[in-house]
Amino acid sequence: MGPILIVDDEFGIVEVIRDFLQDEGYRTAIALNGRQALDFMATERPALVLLDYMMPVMNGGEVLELMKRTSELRDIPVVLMSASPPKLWQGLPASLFLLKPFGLDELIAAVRQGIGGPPRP
Amino acid sequence: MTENKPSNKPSNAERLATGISGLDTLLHGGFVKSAVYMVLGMPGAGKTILANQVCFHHVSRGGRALYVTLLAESHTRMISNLRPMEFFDSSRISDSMMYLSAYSVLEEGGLEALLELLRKEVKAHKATLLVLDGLVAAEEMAPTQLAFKRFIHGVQVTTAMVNCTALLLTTGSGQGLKTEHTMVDGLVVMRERTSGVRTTRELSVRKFRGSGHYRGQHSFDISSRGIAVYPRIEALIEQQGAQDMPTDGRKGFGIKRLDEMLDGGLFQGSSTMLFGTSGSGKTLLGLHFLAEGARNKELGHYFAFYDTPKRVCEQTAGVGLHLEPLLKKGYLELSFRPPLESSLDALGLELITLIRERGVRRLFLDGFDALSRAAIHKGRIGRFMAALVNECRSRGVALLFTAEAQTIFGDELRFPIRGVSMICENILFLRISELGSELRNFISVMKLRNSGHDHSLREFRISRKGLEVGDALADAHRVMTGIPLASGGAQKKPRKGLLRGRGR
Repeated sequence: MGPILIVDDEFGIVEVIRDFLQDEGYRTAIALNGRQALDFMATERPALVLLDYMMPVMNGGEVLELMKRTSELRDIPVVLMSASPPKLWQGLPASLFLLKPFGLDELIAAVRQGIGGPPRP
Repeated sequence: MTENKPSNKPSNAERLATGISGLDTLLHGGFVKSAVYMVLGMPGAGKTILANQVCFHHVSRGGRALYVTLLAESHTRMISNLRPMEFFDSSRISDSMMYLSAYSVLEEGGLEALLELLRKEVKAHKATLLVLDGLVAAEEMAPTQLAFKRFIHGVQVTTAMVNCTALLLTTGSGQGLKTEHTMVDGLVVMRERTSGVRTTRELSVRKFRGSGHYRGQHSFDISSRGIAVYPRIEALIEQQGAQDMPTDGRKGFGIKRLDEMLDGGLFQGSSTMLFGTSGSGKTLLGLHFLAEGARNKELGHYFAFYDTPKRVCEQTAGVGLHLEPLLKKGYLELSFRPPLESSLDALGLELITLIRERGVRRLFLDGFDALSRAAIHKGRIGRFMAALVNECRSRGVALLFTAEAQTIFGDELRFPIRGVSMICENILFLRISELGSELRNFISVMKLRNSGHDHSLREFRISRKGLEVGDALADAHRVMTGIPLASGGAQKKPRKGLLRGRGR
C-alpha cells in the first residue's frame, strides 16, 4: 500500500495528522501546497490523498482537476478538507469531504472508508 | 463525515464547566471545549489548585482528565498538598483522573518527544481535559522561540483533533505576557496584589476566543473548598444590562409620621442613604423598615458589619421591636460579617445572590463605611454602589444603607463620597442635637427623588416603646448642625413640635 499523502499549507495540522496516522500504522507523506503534492505523486503513487481546499501556489480544487485529467492519478481516493463554506467545494469530484475542524475519529473513519485499515506489520 | 457531503460538527461553543462558580460566570459557562487555555501566574498564585479543581469537577461529571507535570516536584507531594481540599477525591486517581510526569521525557527528547507523549497519552487515556503544569520548563528547553510557538501550536491541533480541552499552566518565566502566550484560545492571569498590609488575589481573563467574557480584575480566594472567584458586580451588571422596574409601589417604615413625611414611603427599587452620626438611630430605623416589610410578607435582609444577629435582636427588643417572630416566619434574615479584611467582590457576590437568588425585596446594608474599607481601589466604591443601586432598581428591591457623618456637632457636613446622587435617590438625615442640657435625636428628609415630601425637621425619639417621630419644629434653627438656635438667635430649647410625654 502506498502512503497517505497529506496536503495542507498549515504545517501544524500536517504534522499532527501525520503523527496520528502513523500511530494507527499508516505510512504517510506530506506536502505543503498543491504543487508539492503533484511533484510527490509524480514519483510515488499514494494510496489516498488528504487534500486541503484552500492553499497557496495551487489550491485543492486545481490539484483535484489535474488528478482527474491524469489517467495514473484519477482513481486515487481523495478526501477534501476545508473550513470554508461547503457550497464552495462540495460539488468537486472528491471521494469524501471533511469539514474543518474535524476530530480524530472522523479522520480515521474517512481514511478507513477510503483505503481500509492500516497494513499489517 | 459522510460521503459527498461535508460532515456536521457539534457547536464549538460547547462548554467545559470549571465547577468554580465565579469562574464559570466570568467565562459565560466555562472553557470552550477542545480549546487551549493558558493560565499565567507567579508561583503561589493558585494555578495548580485551580487546574486540579477543574479536573476533579470534570471527572465528577463523567469526563476524563490527564494531568501532566513538567515539574521536578513529585506527584506525591502535589497530591498530599491537595488532599485537604474538599474537591479532592482520591477514588478518581488512576481511573478517570491520571497524573503523569513528563519532566524526564522533556529533558531527554525535547519538545518533540513531549508533544508525542501528550498525543499518545491523551489518546490512550481518552482524556477530555489535559493539564500541562509547568509549561515554563518546556519554554526554557525550547531551542528557539519559534520552536516553542510550534510546540504550542502542535498542542492546539492535537487536542482539538481528539476533542480534548487543554490548560497550560505557566509562570511565564516571570517576564509577563509574551506573544506566544497569546497564541492560545484564552488566557487567564492570576496574581497577588499587596496594598498596605493587605494582600488580595486577583484573576483576569485577558483573552477568550469564540465567546464573550467578563473583563477586568476579579478577586478570588483559596480556602479548603478550593478557589472561589468573585466577579466584580459592576461588570456583571453592566453586561447583563439594567432595566427599570415600575417604581410606583411605596414601602413604608411602619413609623406613622415618618411614612407621612415620605408621602407613604420609599419607592420600590429605590436606594436610600440613612445618613447621620453615630448613635443617631440609623440602624434601628433600617431594621424597622425591614420589619415593616416582613409584616407585609416581603422578604427583608439585614446585611451587617457591626452587630451579630443575637445583638441585633437584643437591641431591637430594647426598643419594642421583636424580630424573632419575623425571623421564624422566614420574612426576615440577618447576616453578619466583621469589617476586617473582606473582599469587596466577595461582599458584592453575597449581595447579588441575596437579590437574584434569595429574592430579597428590602435590603438594608449597614454600613457603607465598612464596605468602603473593603475596597482596595478607593475610587471603586462609587462604581460598586452605583452597580448595586442599578441592580436593585432593575429588580424592584428597596435598598437602604447607612453612612456615618464624621462631624458630631458643627456646620460642616460631608457625604461619604463625591457624587452622592450616583449612589442614592433618597437621603434621610439623622442627627443628635444639643438642646439645653440634653442630647436629642432629629430626622429630616433631605431628598426624596421624584416625589413630594415633608421638608420639616422633626424630633426622632427612640424609647422602650419604639421609634416615634414628632411634629415639625416651628421655632428652631440650625438643629441639624447639632447646635441649634431658637428663633431670634438665642440658644434655647425649641418647645413647639417636640414630642409630648417625655417626662421632663
